[in-house]
Amino acid sequence: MSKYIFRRLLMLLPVMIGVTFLVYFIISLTPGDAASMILGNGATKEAIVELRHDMGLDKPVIIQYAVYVEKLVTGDMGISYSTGKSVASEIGERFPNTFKLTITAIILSVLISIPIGVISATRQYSIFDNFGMIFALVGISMPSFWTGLILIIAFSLNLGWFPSGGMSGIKSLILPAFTLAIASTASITRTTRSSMLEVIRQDYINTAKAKGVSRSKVIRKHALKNALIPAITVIGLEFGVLLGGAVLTETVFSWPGIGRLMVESIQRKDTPMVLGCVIVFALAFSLVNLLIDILYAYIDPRIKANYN
Amino acid sequence: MKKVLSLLVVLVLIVSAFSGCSATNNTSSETKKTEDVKVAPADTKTDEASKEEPKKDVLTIALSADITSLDPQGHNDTKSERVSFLLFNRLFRLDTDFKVVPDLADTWSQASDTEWIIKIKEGVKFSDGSEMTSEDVKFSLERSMTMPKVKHVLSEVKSVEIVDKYTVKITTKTAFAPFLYTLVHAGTSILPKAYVESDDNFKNPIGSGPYKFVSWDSGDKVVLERNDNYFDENNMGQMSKIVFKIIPEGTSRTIALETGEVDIVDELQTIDIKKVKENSDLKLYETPSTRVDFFAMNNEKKPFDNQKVRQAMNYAIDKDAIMAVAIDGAGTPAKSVLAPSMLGYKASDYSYDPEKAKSLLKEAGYPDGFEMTIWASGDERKRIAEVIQANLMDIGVKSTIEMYEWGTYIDLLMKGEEQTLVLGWSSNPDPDSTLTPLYYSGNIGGMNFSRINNPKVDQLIESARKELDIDKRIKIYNELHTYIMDQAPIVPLFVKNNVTGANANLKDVELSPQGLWNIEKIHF
Repeated sequence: MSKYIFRRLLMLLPVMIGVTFLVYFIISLTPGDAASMILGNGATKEAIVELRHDMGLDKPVIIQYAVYVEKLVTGDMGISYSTGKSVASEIGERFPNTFKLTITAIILSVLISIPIGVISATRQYSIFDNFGMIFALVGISMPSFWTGLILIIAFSLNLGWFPSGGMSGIKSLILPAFTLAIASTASITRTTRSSMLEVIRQDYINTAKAKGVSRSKVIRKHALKNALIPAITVIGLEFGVLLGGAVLTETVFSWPGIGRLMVESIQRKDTPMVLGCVIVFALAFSLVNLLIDILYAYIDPRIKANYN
Repeated sequence: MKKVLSLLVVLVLIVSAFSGCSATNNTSSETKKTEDVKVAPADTKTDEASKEEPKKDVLTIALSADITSLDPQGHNDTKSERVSFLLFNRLFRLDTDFKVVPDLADTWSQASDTEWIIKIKEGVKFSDGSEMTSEDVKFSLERSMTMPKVKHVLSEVKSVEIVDKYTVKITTKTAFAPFLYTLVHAGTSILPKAYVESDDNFKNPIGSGPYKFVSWDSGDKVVLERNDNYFDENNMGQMSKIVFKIIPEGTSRTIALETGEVDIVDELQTIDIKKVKENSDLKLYETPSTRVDFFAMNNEKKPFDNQKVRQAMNYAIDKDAIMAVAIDGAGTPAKSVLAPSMLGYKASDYSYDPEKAKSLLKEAGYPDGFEMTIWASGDERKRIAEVIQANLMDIGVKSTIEMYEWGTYIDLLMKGEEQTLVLGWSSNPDPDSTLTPLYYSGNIGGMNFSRINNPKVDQLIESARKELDIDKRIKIYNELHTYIMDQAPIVPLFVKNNVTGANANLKDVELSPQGLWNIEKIHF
C-alpha cells in the first residue's frame, strides 16, 4: 500500500509540470502586457520597455518558462507582479481560507446528501423520494453566484441571521459553505440514491433480511458500505468542482480565499500569482483524488487486494 | 491516517443511521434543528446590542478591490490611495475644489522658474516617535523617482537638495506649472528614512498620518487606528478605528451597507442608486468625477479626416439617452475634452440636433451618409456604442459595433487601427495630465486615440504647461477648449458621477471628483 501511495505521489511531478506549462503558455497568449499593467496610468513608454527588460519579459516564452521552473524546483514561486509580495506567502495566507470553506462545504454536503440519498432509495417513488430528487435537480441547476445572492438577500438582508460577507467567525462561514455545498449535495444525493437502489436489490441483502436482521441494520451494515463506493468517487470529483465554485462564491461573499486571488491575478496579468494558485489547486485536487483512492481500498477489500 | 479515515466513515454512518430510523425520530431531530436556528438570531441581536456602543467609534468602509501595497511609492491605484493617504502625508494636498493646499509644507517660494524652496512644518512626528526633517523629504522624493510605479510623477524633477533641517530646494528640468500638483500624488508621500532603510519592508508601515497601521489581512480587510499624536490638531482623526473591508461584488457591497456591516461604500453601483435613495437609514452622495467618457474618431482615417463630419457627429449623438442606458443617468453630459472641475474648463455649444448633423454631412460631401465601425470594450461601453449606433442611423450613417477584450483593445487602439472608439479617461487634477497624453501630436501611437495632429493644439498645450501665472494659464486653456472642440477630434459623452452610499447617521462625508475624500474627518 505504501508503495502504491509513493508511486502515486511521484506521478504528481509530471502532472505539475504539464499544468504549469499549459497555464504559462495560455497566459502568455492572452493579450495585455504585465509591465504596463504594473506601471499603470501615466507611465512613459521608456519605463515600460525598461521594466519589461528587467522582468525578462522580452525573452522568448520558453526561456521565461524555463527560468520559472528552475526557481520553482527550489521552492521559489516568485514575486507577485502587482503587489511585490512573495507568491508563496500570499498563497499561504489565502489557501487556508479556501480550504476551510471547501472542507466545510464537503462535510455539509455529505451530511445532507447521503441520508437523503439513502432514504430516497429505500422509499423509492414515495413523496420523500420525489421531493429529494426535485431538490437535487434544482440544486444542480442553480449557478452558485445566484444561489449565493439569494441566500444573502434572504438570510442576511431580510432575516439578519448571518453576515453578508467577509470572514469573521463561524457565522460568516455558513452561507458561503451552503452555497458551495448545494450543487455538490445534489449530485452526491443522486449517486447515493442510484447505487443504493442497485445494492438493495442484491441477493445478499435479501439473505440478510431473510435471516431476520432488522431493516435499519440491513441498510446500515450491509447495504450502505457497498453503496458508498460510487458516492465516494463523486465526492472526490465534487471536491474539484468545489474548488472551481469557490472562485465565484468567494467573490460573492467577499471571502478572502485563493479562488478570488486567482481571478484578481488573471485580471492584473500577474503571471507568477496565477501560476502559484493553479499549482496549489492542482496539488489539492490530485491529493484529494489520491485520498479517495485510498479510501476505496479501505472500504472495499477487493480493491485493496489489487494493491498488494 | 487510518484513524482519521475511520472516524470520517463512522461519522457518515452515524448520520445515515438516523435516516434509517422511524419517522418520529426524524421529526424530533428536525425540531431540534429549528430550535438551533431560533437560538441563532436571538444571539445576533444581543451581539449587536452589546456592540452598538463601541461600534460608533469604528468606521467600516467597503472597498471594491484589495489594496496592492502599503508602500505609498509601491502602488498607483486609488484603492491603495484611500489607505495610504491616512497613513502618510505629502507636502501638499488637494481640497475638495481641487486647489492645492499645504499639508506638510509650511511655506514655499520660487527662487526662479525652475527652483522651488519648500519649508516643512517643524515638530512633525512619525508614528514611531521620530521627528521629520528635510533629510526624510529628500530621501522620499528621491526614492519616489526610482520606484517603478510612481517614477513618472516626478519625472520633471532634476534634483532635491537639503537647505537646512526643515527646508529643501527642488529643481525642475524646465519651468513646469503643474509642479505643486505633482506633490499631492500618493507617490510623493514623505516616509521616515530610517524606517524605509530598515528591513521591515512595509509590513508595519510607519508614517506621519492621522491614522496608524494595525493590520492587513490580504483580500479581507485593512485596519487602522487613530494617531493621537498627529501634528495637525485641527485635522485629527475622528473615529478611533477605521476598517476597510474588501467586497469585490457590487451587489454584495450594497447589501453590506443595507445590513449595517459597513458604514459607507467607496463605490456604489449605479443600479443601486434607487435602492439607497429609498432607504431612510442610508444616504446617497453624488458628485461629478473627473472621468470623461468619449467617442473618439480616428482623425487620420476617412471620413473622419473631415472636420465637418466630426462636427456632425457631435450634433448627432444624444448624450442624455446614452447616460440613461449606460450609467442609469448618474452623470452630466460632457461638453468638452475635460471635466468641468478642471482648471480652465470651457463648455462647447454642441447640442443634440440630428437635422444640423445631416446638413453638415451634406456640406462635407456625404449626403447619403456612409458606413463605419465602432469599437468598444466592456458592458458599459457596449451599451454606449449601441445608443450611438441608433443615433447615427437617424442621420443615415450605418455602423457596426465590434467588441474587444480590454488588453487587446488598448493594444489595437495604440496602433491606430480603429475607425471610431468608445473610451473613458479619468484624470489627475491638473488638466495637463489629460491634454498631453490624449491630444498632443507626440503621443500619436500612445494615448492620443483620436490621433489628432494639430500644431495649434500642440502649441497651446505646451505654453499652458510652462505658464506659471495661473490666470494666464486658465486663459490659454479657455482658448484651447474653444479651439479643440471646433476641431472636434472626439464627441465628449458624459462625466460619470462618483456615487457613494453611506449610513444616514454619518457626518462630514465628502466626495471630491476623485471619490471619497478626507476619510479622517468622517464620524457618527
